[in-house]
Amino acid sequence: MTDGARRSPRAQDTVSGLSRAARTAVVWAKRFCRWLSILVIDGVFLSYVFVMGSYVATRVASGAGSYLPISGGLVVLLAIAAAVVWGAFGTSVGIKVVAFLTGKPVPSRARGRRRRFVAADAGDSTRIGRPVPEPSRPQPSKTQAPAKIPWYRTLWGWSIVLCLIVTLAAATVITSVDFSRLVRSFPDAAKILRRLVRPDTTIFAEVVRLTIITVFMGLMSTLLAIPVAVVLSFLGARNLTRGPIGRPVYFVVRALSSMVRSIEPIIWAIVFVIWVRPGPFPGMLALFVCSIADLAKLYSEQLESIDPGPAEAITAVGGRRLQVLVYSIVPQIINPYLSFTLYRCDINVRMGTVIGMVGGGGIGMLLMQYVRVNEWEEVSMCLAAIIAVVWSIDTLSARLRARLS
Amino acid sequence: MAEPQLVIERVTKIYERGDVLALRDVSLTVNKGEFLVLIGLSGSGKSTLLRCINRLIEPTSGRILLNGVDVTQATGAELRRIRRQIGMVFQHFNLVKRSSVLRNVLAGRLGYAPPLPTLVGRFPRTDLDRARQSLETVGLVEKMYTRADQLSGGQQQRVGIARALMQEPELILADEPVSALDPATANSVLQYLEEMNREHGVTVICALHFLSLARRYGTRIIALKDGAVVFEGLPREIDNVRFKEIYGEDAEEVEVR
Amino acid sequence: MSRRFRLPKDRLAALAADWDLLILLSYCVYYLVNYWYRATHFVKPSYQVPFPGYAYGLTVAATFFLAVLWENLGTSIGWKGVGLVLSDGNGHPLGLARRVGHVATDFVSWAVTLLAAALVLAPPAGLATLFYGLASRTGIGLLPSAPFWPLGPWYAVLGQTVGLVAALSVVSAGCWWVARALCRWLWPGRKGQTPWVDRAVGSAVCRPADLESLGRPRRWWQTSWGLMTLLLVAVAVYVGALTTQFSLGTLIRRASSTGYFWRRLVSPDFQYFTAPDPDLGDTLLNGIIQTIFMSLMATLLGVLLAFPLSFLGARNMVTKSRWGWGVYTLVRAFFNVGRSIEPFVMAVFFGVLVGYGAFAGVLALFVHTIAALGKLYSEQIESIDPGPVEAITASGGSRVQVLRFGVMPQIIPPFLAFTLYRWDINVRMATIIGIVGGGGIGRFFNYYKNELLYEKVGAVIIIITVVVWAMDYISGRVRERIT
Repeated sequence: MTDGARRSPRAQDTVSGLSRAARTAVVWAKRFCRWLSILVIDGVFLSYVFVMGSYVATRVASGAGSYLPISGGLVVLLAIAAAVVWGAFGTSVGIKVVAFLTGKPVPSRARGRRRRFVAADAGDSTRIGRPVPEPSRPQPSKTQAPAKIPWYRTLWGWSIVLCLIVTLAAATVITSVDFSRLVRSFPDAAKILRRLVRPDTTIFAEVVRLTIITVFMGLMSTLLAIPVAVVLSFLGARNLTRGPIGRPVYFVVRALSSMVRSIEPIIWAIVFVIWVRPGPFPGMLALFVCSIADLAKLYSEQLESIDPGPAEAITAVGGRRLQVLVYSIVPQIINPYLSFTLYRCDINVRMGTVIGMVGGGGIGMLLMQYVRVNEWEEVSMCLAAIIAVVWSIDTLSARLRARLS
Repeated sequence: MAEPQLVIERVTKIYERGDVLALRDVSLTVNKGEFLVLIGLSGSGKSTLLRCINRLIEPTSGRILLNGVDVTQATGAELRRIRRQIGMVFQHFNLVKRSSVLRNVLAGRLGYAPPLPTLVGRFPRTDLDRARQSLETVGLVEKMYTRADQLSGGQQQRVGIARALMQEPELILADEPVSALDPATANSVLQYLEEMNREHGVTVICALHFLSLARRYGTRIIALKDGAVVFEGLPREIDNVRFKEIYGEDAEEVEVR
Repeated sequence: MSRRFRLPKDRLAALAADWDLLILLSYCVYYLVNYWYRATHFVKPSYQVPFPGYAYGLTVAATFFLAVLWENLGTSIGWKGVGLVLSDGNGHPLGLARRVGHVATDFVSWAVTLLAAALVLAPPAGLATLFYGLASRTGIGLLPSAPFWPLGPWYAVLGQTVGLVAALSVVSAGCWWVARALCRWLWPGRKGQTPWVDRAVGSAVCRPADLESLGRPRRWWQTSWGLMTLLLVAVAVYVGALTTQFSLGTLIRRASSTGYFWRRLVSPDFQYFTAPDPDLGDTLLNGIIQTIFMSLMATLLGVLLAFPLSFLGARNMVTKSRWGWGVYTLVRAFFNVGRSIEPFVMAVFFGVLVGYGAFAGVLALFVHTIAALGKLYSEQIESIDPGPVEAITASGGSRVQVLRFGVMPQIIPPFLAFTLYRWDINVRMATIIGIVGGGGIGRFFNYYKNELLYEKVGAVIIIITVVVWAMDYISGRVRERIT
């Protein structure tokens, strides 16, 4: 019964179904994908710098910016060519990005060559340009990270700097940022500010009534969203949805909730205002829909990170799936779930204050009304109520969440 | 010679994802009332073998027979019936930290109690008495309503044992129950298992790290190395040569008193 | 506050919580009475039942008394949340007779504390009202102007000002002295001394763990806090449904009548994606690019300002010097106010200032980002490990070196993560800020919505979804790698 051989199981008899040739093919396919992604990233990077740079240049030169002074196809071709050259002969931005995202440095012959050039620069003036004879130096392992060169001595470092400069310039131009306009508006701002610090207390009762409606809007939408989100979270947790029916359900739930989350509550509110008439109801529905998606995502992330030990124990005791759920999973998730719910309630009240501006109810409606006619004293009363309510709900929610964890 | 209680026939376990061979053609028999100790290095397959017995892990091939019933082919209600006769004690206790000690111990009866009332936390009166008795056996009755994570490591493991006791099992699997405890507590925990083995006739299969503990408590020792059985026999038969074979050339024995 | 008395903060928080919950309950009761009256009598929809004026004040006082009663006779929600129980000082729960006595002393004690607080706040409040009254009457801001005081020679005006200030100081000092004396009697400051509330009855307040266990703990539906929570949730949901005019019927009825809208919304029209829209003068593609750059600008500028401000708003950096606390409070107040006003609102304000367009949107996002990022950054700074800071200070490093080598390495990765998170949120905000006059794709959305061109609205929604989702995914992946 004593196994005399001390070979590791992997070398001796791997029972994986793939043959040696198939495994080599998989390795080469992975390498090809990596090279392709580096190429794509470099190509996109270079064409982005070119396009934005040309926009800024044409806008500054002639007042009308154009993204593509030469045809788009030509730009793409040039970018790909430059990316291929760069990736083959040096450390390009793409190599750095892929290494960062996957956590593994990219082995490449080019980097070895670069190292030798750097080593040549580093001190031995008689060796500049001449390749170093191989046998005299220990060959670096292909997967070792090379000596760290500071970014300001590398091409990729400066190209990232160039990219940032171009982006900043393009952003300034595209969003027509012009701080002189801001400075010129200071006298008007002073006038408005003077009116803003004197809240008009005659509308106090109305403001309080609307603030209470806003708070209830936030609360109700959270409360109604909780049961739906809890159910959806179990369907959207990777470790609980296995098997032929589980997988597609998981993907559908995750995709749908991502899509719903991408659309802001304001947009949902506009849609619901068209559906049911303006008032607090469409605002509440909009917040309800967004809360379901957000809470489902937060809940399922929590479910995916629970400790599997107690679940193992209850299964070992002979419990059914539902009993495993109730006895091992539910006690672990109640506190995080409550914490996420409080977080979402806070956000819902915040959103509730502005959702009135597009037709949902609450204080946003009054605010919009007064801003349109420049009644800044009444506006400041509304703003004071908004600040008070959002600040207190924020503090309350933060304190309660700190107590829960 | 009576029928052996547990028969493991040529069990193999391969993990697809790393091409790792965790168990290689392991075969052994266990008679009723034995205190079997599994020893071996980390990663030698002790935990995997224990979990294959109650099918927390599915063996890739092979058969396991408990009292003549094929565990590897059982499904659904039958698997649950088999599992409720096997108690398990874990290395990291596997208690529900936020629940009380009583609730954790009562969870041991989930295989026996009627399913619907347990979903709202109601167990039969007899189960509550049984829980009280189990906690008296391990000496933790006064902690019945405290939260599980407020207990020390040794106390938590005793709660784990009380939970296993609730099942009135024929077989107890212990996956390195004392690795996370200090030596004094380790001995007291193992003494509970020994008491159950000697006085109630419960078979115990225990995976341990320390050979001295294995020698002290085991009636039979099985050593695993790289997923295969390398030694099977009485504790006193492990001499230095055998020790090096099991643990490797550089290992030295450490006494745990 | 003098060091001679210590207000028990947890009991105060519990009382505040219980009182507020009871006030919420009474508000719901008032609302329901109004609602049922309106539903059963033939009156205008805005009719309010005319309760006598003193009814509201009476309700506030009654809820205060009820809160004290609740806390002492059972376990209230506040006490359960904070983790307190009434005991007799020896580990046993307090008996009923002494509890009733405790109600009286607790009520008196808290009432007197509230009176003391009112005394402390009265003079400044009076002063503020004085200035406010002056300001609203004269209309030039917060400064008092001449017409209030009687016109006269300069020495009369000076004498009157001096007299006013002196009188105010004397009154304030008197109020403060009385308040402090009261608090010192009620809440003695030395450790181990029980407050008057407990001394008078012979009780003590302790944590539940210190009480001897009485066997099986009561289930939540047998306790007053459990039942009260249930009642509050039920009433809040009911009143909430009424307040927000929740009506499934409306939803279903209008679903068919708005069918045309849905049909057009789900058949998107990308006609103006790369071709400029003649009414708006730009393409959708330019719009979304503008949106992304708006968020980028706002985030970059926001980081620039939030980074230094966050150090001023972190307790462990700033509060060592005398002016530190003042600066800290100011900066934190700015962060809170800036975070409370959504960029949506600020965009309207900036639109009025610099004209509607992308710049207004950038400014609105910028101000909100400073506040939000500043708060996240300062919380991170407050939670650094003091070890490296100690080590570098001990080895003789200057303040700047301590910052550079002890603080920075710990905070850079979380700061980067927060910045990415904020950029992600800014992209979301930027997509909608055009609706109120910021630029970007929101402008298109607003225009098409007003012109009822729902196919194009659908196209805009799809573009927004794709961009936000992509941004979210990328930022999530990069943040995973940073932390």
